[in-house]
Amino acid sequence: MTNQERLQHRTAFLDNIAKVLDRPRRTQAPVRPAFKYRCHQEVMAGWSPDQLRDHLVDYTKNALGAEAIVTTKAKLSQVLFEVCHAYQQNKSFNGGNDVVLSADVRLLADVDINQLTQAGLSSYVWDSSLGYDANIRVCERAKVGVVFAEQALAESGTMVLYSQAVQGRAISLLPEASVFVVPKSAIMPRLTQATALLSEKAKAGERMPSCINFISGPSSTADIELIKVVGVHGPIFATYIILDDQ
Amino acid sequence: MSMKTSHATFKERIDIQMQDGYMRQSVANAQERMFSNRAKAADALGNWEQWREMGKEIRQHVLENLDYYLEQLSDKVVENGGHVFFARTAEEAAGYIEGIIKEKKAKKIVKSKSMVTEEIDLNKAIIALGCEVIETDLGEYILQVDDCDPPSHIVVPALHKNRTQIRDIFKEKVDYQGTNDPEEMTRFVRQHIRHDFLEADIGITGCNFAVAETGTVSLVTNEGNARLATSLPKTHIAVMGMERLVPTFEELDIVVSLLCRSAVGLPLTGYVTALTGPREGDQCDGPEEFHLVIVDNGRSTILGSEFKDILRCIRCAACVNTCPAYRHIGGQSYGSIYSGPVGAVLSPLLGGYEDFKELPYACSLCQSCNDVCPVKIPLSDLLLKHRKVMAESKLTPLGERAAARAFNYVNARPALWSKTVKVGAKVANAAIKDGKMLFNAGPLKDWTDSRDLPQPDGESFRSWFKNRKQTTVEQQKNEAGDRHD
Repeated sequence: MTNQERLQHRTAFLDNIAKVLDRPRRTQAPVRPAFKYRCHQEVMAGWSPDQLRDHLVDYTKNALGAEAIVTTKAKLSQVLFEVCHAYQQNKSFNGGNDVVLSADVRLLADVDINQLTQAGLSSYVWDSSLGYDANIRVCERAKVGVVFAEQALAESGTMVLYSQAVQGRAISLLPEASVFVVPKSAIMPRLTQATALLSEKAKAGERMPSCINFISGPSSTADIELIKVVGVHGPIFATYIILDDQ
Repeated sequence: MSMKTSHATFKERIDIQMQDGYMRQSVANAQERMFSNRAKAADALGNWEQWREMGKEIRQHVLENLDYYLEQLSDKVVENGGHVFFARTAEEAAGYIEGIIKEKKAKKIVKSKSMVTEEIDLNKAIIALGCEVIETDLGEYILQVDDCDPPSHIVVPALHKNRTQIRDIFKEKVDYQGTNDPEEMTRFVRQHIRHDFLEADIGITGCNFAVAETGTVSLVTNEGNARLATSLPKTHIAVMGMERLVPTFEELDIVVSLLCRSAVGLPLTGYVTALTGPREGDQCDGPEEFHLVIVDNGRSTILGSEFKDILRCIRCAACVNTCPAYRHIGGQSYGSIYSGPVGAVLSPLLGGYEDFKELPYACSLCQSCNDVCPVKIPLSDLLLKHRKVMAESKLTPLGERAAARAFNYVNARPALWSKTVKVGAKVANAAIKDGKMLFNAGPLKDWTDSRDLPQPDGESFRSWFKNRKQTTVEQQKNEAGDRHD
């Protein structure tokens, strides 16, 4: 199908908008008015990486019902094993004991897979060449999914994920527990800095990753009597591992 | 469910709702909590007025240049490999989606919460094709299972039900055997419909904001159902109201921040998901096909009218959570999928005065909605405008118009006015016994029915005030004298 065939009924629709706005069709990019204020830039401006990390940890533990662990690159494998092993002790919702890992080299370079394949745990590394069914079948029953975050946002306890061939959407979605690994240097004050990076990408003509997720803790709902329940359709548990020396 | 959720009259709906003690208490409590969460979140962020001003300007700019940004958005979606359909009417939008369902021979569809799909009555069209559709947002799921009970709040649709009612519904309809514990029921639904996400052929979502520059659709959610619906099925269809977009990711930052804090009192919700086209060729999960349906359905008429400010709305429900009328009558009384102040403005515009003429009167003009709106929509002014439009086009009740005409006539003639109020005071004295009128005049009937009136003393307000003024002046003189003593 050509681009034109995938675009239907546009001209009349947009002509009508121009008509109700009582002017000709606007075909040139309008000048975006500069923001009147800088309040979004001022949130946590000038904070040190340690201050941002501390806020991220506190907010995650106190407001999101999630865990946050500060460690080093050298200790990542051991910490990851301990976290996954602890989740294994929980009551099972999905049924399996697998740990599914992103194949992102930024993660795998520092993780000893053998260490994650002991004490009843088995591990699987995402492999998009095997196709949808093979990867989803593992994730569907998995206990833990481990992913590498592009950025973390201190204000909201958020992990930012870009979908990639090595790190599918399902790893942070289908398993019961999500584990996010993020370097301290990637912690930013808020959404403002993360969207600025995406805006730069767009200005450089890059295609956005097909799925960008800003994830703040495990899934939750308040649809019954406004009572907060953690764990709905997405993961029920979440742990952030912050690499303090990265 | 279309815009209209009930065939009962406004008054009948209110009468039913006012009998529901649980609903009224629950709405009152919920409003209080959501209102204070929002206020705390706004205070914690600081400079809230500046944020609101920015939100207003961004939305205003988009509306002024809507044709350009929609063109840019659709070009970009297509460039990324997606499809775009522009639908002038609800029927066109539903028709296009029906076409995809037939082409895919889809048997099962998972949906995440979307008001615009309610507006175009999409589920009805899907079911008519013999296809199963599952509402996967917990609140929407409860309503769907309960024989499609209408929503009572735009963010928390099943707000009017308590946990025991929900337990009973689940027990009867989906063979739930557990207690009324919200966590247990939530986990049950997780287990119960998980397979639906895995089996579905198509995932349908709404769109909180599209980003024109990149051809992106963003979803602001908490439960993970929207992520499942856009990661597992082979086809993703996003349906958006034509005004729901921003120019770039920089503006997305501001409007998403305003939405999350205003709707749920958090810096961000659990998931903010930005989806751009179908998945890239080297990825193995995510949809192979992406369709964006851009819906007008009356919005362009609003854009060209004196009501255009309502199109800035970001659907946070902050106005609903502060509205005293909503607090008293509950969301279902509005008889529309959109309730509260935003519903009272929007429903007559999208659904017509014929069905929704009473809604602009479900307002005490306290203006509290204006003060909390994150994009500064003058909601109560728009409600007043509706009343004016209806009065001018003679859509208000005959009795009310006759009364207003009589008032204007008398009010324009001072001598007649003076005589009338004197006579009126005497008549009132005779006509009110034990707080009730002896006869009820048409337009005043509802008011006089529900209120105890004071026993008049046969004196008009003007003459009473004149006497009182003199007395007060004398009193003040005396008091001043006392102090000097």
